[in-house]
Formats: sequence, C-alpha cells, structure tokens
Amino acid sequence: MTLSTFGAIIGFAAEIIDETKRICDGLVEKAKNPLLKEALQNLIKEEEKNYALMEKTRRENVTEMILEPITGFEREDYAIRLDGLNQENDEGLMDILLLLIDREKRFFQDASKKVSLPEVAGIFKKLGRKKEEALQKCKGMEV
Amino acid sequence: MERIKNYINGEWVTPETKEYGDIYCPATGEKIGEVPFSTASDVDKAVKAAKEAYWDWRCTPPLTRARYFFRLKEMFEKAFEDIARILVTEEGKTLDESRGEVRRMIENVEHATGVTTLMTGYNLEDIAHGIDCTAERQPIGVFGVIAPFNFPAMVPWWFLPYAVVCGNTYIVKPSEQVPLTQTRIFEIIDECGFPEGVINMVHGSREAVNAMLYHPDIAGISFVGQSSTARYVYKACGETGKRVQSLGGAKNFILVMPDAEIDKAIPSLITSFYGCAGERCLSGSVLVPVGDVYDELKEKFVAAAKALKVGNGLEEGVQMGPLVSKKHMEKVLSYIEKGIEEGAELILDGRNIVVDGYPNGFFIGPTIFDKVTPDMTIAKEEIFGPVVSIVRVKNLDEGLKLIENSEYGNAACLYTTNGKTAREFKYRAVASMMGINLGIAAPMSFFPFGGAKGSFFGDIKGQGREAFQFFTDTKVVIQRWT
Repeated sequence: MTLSTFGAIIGFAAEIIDETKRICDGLVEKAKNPLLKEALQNLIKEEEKNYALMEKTRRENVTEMILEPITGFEREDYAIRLDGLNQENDEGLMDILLLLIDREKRFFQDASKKVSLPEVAGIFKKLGRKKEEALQKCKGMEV
Repeated sequence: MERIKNYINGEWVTPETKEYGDIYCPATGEKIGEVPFSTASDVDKAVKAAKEAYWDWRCTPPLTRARYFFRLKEMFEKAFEDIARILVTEEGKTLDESRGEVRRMIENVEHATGVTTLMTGYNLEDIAHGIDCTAERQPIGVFGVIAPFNFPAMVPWWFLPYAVVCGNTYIVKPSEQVPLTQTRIFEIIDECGFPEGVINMVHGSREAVNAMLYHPDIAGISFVGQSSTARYVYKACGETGKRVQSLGGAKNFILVMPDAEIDKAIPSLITSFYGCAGERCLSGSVLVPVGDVYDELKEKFVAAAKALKVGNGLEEGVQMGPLVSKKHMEKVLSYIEKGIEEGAELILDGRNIVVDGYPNGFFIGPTIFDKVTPDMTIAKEEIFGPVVSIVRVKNLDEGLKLIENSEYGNAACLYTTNGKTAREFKYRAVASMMGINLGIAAPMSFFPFGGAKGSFFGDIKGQGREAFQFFTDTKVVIQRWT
C-alpha cells in the first residue's frame, strides 16, 4: 500500500516504532548478555519517546495549505519477517534487534526525502541518523 | 440515535423545538444523529445568558481571560485526534485535511491569547494645550457566528476566541449539516470552566439564523457561507445596526505561466482543486494555462487527478473524500451536466466513481472540463466540488481580465518563476487572497481572512489584527487636568 499522504507517513512511522517497542518488550527478558539487555531496554525507552514525538508531529506540523499528494513510497518496502529467527539465544536476539533498527533507519531516511515540510523532514533525518548510530553500536557489540 | 443539545449558560439544554434534522456520514450515507432546529425562543435564551454574563466577563482582566484560552488550547491538543475524527465522520474530508483544520482552529486560540498586546489602544499628550487624548479599545456585548458546513471546527474559531478574549460574550450557531464537531468542542469548553453564559451554542437552521440576525441584544455577527446568504446577512445586520463581517462564496482562478515549474506545481495544483473535495472557498476552480504551457500542463494535471485515491476520509492514505451530502452531490452533478450541455469537453468524468465498500457514499471523483469558455456557467458559478474548468488564455492580461470579470474576488493564484510577472499579478488581480506558486492562499490566524467583490460583505475581515478591531469599540477619552 502506498504511503500517499502526510498522515499515512506519520501513521506508519508510529506503527513501526510501536512494533519495535512491542517486540523488544518481549525479548528483553530473554537476553543474557547485559550489554544486549541494556541495548534492548534503551531502545524500548527511546521508542516510547519517538512514538510521542510522532503524535506531536502529526498534530502540530500538519499544514492544511500544503497537503500535497505523495508518490512512490510503499509500506511493503519496510516489511520485516521475524519467523525463522532464533529468539532463544543472544545471537538470534541481536539479529532481530539489527533488523528492527535497520528497518527504522531506512524508513526515516526515506521519509525525510518524501515529506516536503522542512521541520518534519528534519525530524525524520535526525531519527534516521540516531538509528544509524544505534545500528553501528549494536554491530560492534560482542554477544 | 443521538439527539444533540444546545449549550446555554454553562449547561446542556434540550431546546423547545420539536423539529429535528438528520445528520449523515457522507462516506457511508448513513444517518448518525439528529440536530435540533432551535426556535427564536431558544436563541433568545442563549442571548439572555450571554447578556447576563457580559458585564462580569468584560470586567475580568484581559490576561485572566487569556488564561482560559491557554487552558483550552492544552485541552484541544489532548482531544486533537478525537475532534479530527468526528469532523471526518460528519463532513467527509480526509483525516489529514481534518487535522489541518483542527490545527488552524487551535492557532486562532493561540493568536487570541496575545490580547494584552493586540487589544491595546494608543494615546497622545497635549493634543491641545494641557489636554491629553487616549483611544481605548472596549468590548461591546454579545456577538455570534453563523458557520458553514465545510470547516465545522475551524470557522467559528476565526471569530470566537477574539470576541471572547476581548471581553465580549458569544453564541455559536454551527451548520445544521455538521453540528457534531462543535458539540464535541463545547464538551471541552464546558470542562475548561469558562464562567456561565460567556460561550453558548444554539443549533438550528433558518429560524435560528433569523432570530440571531434580528435580535436586538446581539451586537455583531460573523457569517461564512454562500454569497446569496452572505448578502442577506449583511443586509439584515445593516437594518438592525449590527457589526457584520459576512464572508461569501468564490470562483478562484489559478493561472499557470509558460515559465512555471510544472512538475513542482502539479501536486500543489491538485491540492488546490481537489483538496476537501473542492468544498472550500479557497479551492482552485478554473485552471488557466497561459500561452503554450497548455499541452504539458493539461497532460500532467489530468494524469495526477486520475491517480488520486478517493474514499472514506477516515482511512489513512485516502486523498479525497466524499461531498458533504446527497443534496450537495446532486448539485455538483447538475453542474457537470450543465458543462456538457453548454459544450465544454469532459476529459475526466468523476460521476460514476465506485468506491469499494461505500456504495451509498456521496462520492464524485476528480472531474475536468477542457475547452471551457468564460461565458459558460461552469466558468462563472461556484460549484463547490471536485470539478475543474480549463480556460485557455494567450497572456497574463487576458488571465487578469478573467479574474476582473468574475463576480467573486476571494482568491487567485499564479505559478511562475518570474518575479516581475508575480508582482504584476498580485498588484492587479482583483481578489483579496493571493497565492504565488501555491494553490491555497489561506491566511493563517495572524493575518486577515476574507475576499473582495461578491465574496465579502462588510469592512473588517476575520482573524489577524483586524479581529481585535471588529470585536472592540474604540473609545476616545480627552482629558484636561491643568
């Protein structure tokens, strides 16, 4: 399905943020490595803030004057499949974590180019940058 | 089935009337509630409450009055999504459009809280030897708004916060087609704790409108709606000595110059013509390609219009919703018939659009007429629907002539990359809200909103600094103590 409006993009962002949080909620107790556990806990906290940020952005940055149609942005491009990934050991949990962060990074970076409002594009750009940093940090983690 | 009530003197009141109208969801075509057609006696109760509340409220310091609105803004933010969804359910526009509207409503609250600066008067010492003069802004009394269907949240709030923060008391008469949005908003007002009688709401139709227009204790009226009614309201307020700002309809011309950046312009043009399904007084109505831009513009505009996703505005991703009512849909369809009869070429026909899951919705798809001439009905009259007329002109002068000859003068827009052309356009075009390289020239709360010619009857427009002028009398005090 195409993300063809401002609201659809923000709505999808909130959806994947919430999904990431829910998945991490379910994984955090399974993690044995303290660094991995901490990374999951941090992500949960961050996603709570990001979700609130999306709600605020949708409310405060919707500009009726320039609600222009958006094209070429498909939600299917950000679909992830977790079945088949091992959730019982730290390596498997890390793979899931990387997948979740990478999906968000790609989406935020792409969304920053699709939304014409500079404030909103800036928010997505910043989120994309933070996810890139988180991704690198997790990749450097030994589990 | 919910029967909504009036809000008078801080209470929800069942009106005396026995007559009720139906409220519909335009996407499903289902009845979702009933609205009372209040009587003159119901209106009188609201006026009495507002009049009774006036003096205490008028004596409340402006900053204290503003604090109610600071609190109200926060409550609106919390209820933002709820208000936006109710609005879509009864009016039909998309969720994004609805959110944008609620945002604009809140922006007026934010602007009004600047009352301690914006309501101030001015003074001069020694206007004559030892004599000083001050001009002081004072509230006047009871004001009211008669609101249209197309912006059920925002339009009453172009006026209400300014009137009330200036010390007046207020009565809102929402459109009988979309009364649920203001009803939800008034639940929040009730919770906010304004003193009784300061803000009131009376639902109704013709009788309630006339009762407000002719009530001797109402000092001023703000109206937004079609031009014939705007003229009627203006006359009635003139007869009864009321202040009046009466905003009417529109026929907005959107000129595209050969030097315009077409690819950049297309999304903005689409929003202009099809946003809110064309049911707004700032919508583009006539697309005017200037010179040889015609072929490229037409091809790209038609392709973009065809690609629009039409559906229930509550579904995220839908880009155009239904029209507000079956009656209005039939009116728009009759204009399409008229266009065909008069010889325009229908190049995109939205009449038989099928929206999956909503067989009874009031939908018309994007519609485009080409080869429209200025004398055709569809080029002259306000359609208030997703119907675009393409009228070709040779040059800017010819385009400006089209605007000048229109009986309306609400908005006009131009797409160009040439600053000189842009200046020429904004300098000469006879319309009050001008867009350069944007298709919806919608002034924000801190600028005045209102048109020219048959689009506006009155002197002082809505919003902006003008709002503080409309809702206050300037008292001049000349003093000698020497």
